[in-house]
Amino acid sequence: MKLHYPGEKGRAVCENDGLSSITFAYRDVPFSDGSGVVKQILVGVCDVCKEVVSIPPQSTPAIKAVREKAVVSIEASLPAVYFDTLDLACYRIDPETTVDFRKRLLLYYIHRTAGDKRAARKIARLREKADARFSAAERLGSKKRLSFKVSYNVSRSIDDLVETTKLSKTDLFKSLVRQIDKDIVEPDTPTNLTELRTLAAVANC
Amino acid sequence: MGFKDAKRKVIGALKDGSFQHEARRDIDVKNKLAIGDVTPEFVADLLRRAKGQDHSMSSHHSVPSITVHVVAREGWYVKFYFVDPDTWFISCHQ
Repeated sequence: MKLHYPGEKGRAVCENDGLSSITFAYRDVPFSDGSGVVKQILVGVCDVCKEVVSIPPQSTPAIKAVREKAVVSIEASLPAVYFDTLDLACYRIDPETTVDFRKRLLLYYIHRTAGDKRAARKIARLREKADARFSAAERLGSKKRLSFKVSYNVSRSIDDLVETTKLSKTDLFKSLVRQIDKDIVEPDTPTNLTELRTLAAVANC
Repeated sequence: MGFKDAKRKVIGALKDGSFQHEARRDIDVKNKLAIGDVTPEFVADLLRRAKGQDHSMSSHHSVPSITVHVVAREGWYVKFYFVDPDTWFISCHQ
């Protein structure tokens, strides 16, 4: 692997000055989507316009670390029955869990579904099928606000799922809770209980 | 340079680390290799599976004499060019 040093010279394409000479230097560099700034990473700077024109691979771990830490707020307004379902699932997994485990359980399902197109299609179909119990409870109950903070990468997984399933964010969360209902609340013996109990044990540390 | 040579050269660069990412003042989040969402091994494997029909070429918008290689494979788009001694990635995204 090639290690670059501050002060080292090279050449790169600069959008202002074309093929130009560059000097490696430490700079604060923002993300193109405005999600944050990576402080003092080694980059190639155009010798003419002084703009950042290159990023060597040795700066990628620092970029990745900032990207993962960036915090995004997730908000959705759901009928109270979805919170009751989520809380009952959490209680079944581990009666000692706190309300914070709601978020972890949802993130577990987001992670599991985001990496599996078949699971994502299943989640999308769940929203299409009316469920008498949920529909009646939705009509009768009040709404509550689901609110938690996630890393930028998790937020992107949620956005990807919204795109794959063609559901709104609110409907995606509703479908995920209905899947949790089917997997954990409804069955006599939930299939993934051991794995979820491990998750709860780690979350409660 | 045709696809066969470009493929050999870019895979070699990913393997030995002689590559960089083009930047325009900021870190392009569409370059998932630069931001660490995918590894050089992942991109090398993807390019290894790419065929001639997955490859196209165009001129670099700032320096027309530079040929930009575009590989569209398995839903991924990888754009790169060569300015010796390095291979330069413009983007790598789904």
